Amino acid sequence: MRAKDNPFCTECLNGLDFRFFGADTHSLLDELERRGMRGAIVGPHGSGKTTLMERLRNTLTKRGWNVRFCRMDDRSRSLPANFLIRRPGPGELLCIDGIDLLPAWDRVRLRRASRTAGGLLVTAHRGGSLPTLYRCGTSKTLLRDLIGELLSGQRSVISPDLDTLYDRYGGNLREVFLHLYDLWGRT
Amino acid sequence: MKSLRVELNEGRTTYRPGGELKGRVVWTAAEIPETLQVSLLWFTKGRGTEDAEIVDQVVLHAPGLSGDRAFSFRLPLSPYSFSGRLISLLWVVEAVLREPEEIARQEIILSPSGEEIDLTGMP
Repeated sequence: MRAKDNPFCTECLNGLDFRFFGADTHSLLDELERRGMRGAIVGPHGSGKTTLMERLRNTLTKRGWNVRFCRMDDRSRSLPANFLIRRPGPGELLCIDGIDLLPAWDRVRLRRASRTAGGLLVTAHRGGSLPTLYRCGTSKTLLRDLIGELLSGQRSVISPDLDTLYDRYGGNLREVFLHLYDLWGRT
Repeated sequence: MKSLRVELNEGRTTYRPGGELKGRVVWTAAEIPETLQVSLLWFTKGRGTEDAEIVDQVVLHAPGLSGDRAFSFRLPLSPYSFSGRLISLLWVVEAVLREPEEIARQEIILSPSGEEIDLTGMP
């Protein structure tokens, strides 16, 4: 199977809508506003934190916020040199995806910069000094729902044991989807 | 009724590296747009991190509520369109109207053979 036809390719996964439990985008942003535009999206690996941050980021931009965004991952564990070169103003929101990966010195710089910024929104694996805006989690039902959306209209050529996959990867849906990508790729 | 489409000359969708791509973008917007951007770009699709590069671009400021505009791009020598199991590289001509945003895309194949390079058979 060609990569572009694989239903578990990154583009397809990025197209999945975030599944809220007991909230929606607007109620979450209202809550963020009530907390002085400071908050954290918290959750374990592969639970949708980045997906939710993307959604909130887009809505905040449409609402007129100037969003200054940075994503941390294994390849990039410090703030880019120019990220804080200009002091952020009150109309700017600092968004950091993966604040846990920032070294201590960058956290200090970020904390200082956020005093002049209009707000700070981060994702983290655990709660910290920022108020928890939303706690992401996964379930086997959610996994089935997402796979149903990814495969809508397609005949499923294989039938993986999703419950076993979910348990094998400890609920990390990103890892489950990578496994399914490889499985589909062999067909 | 709003519409945006990219039409390539002679309905071509396959091109040789270094060749010329000609087409036109036709639009009718619901509100007067600020810009119309036509880009030639490639992007990857598959497992893991995606990559993309805009190779060339034409920008029209205040394009008007509706119109029809020709464009042409000189195609680079690489990368070729290809598909393996882990990654595919696709070329598109993309038109973007802003604001509000409308996007139209036309995929093309860029390769010396005129066909996407198939790497799925490789180990």
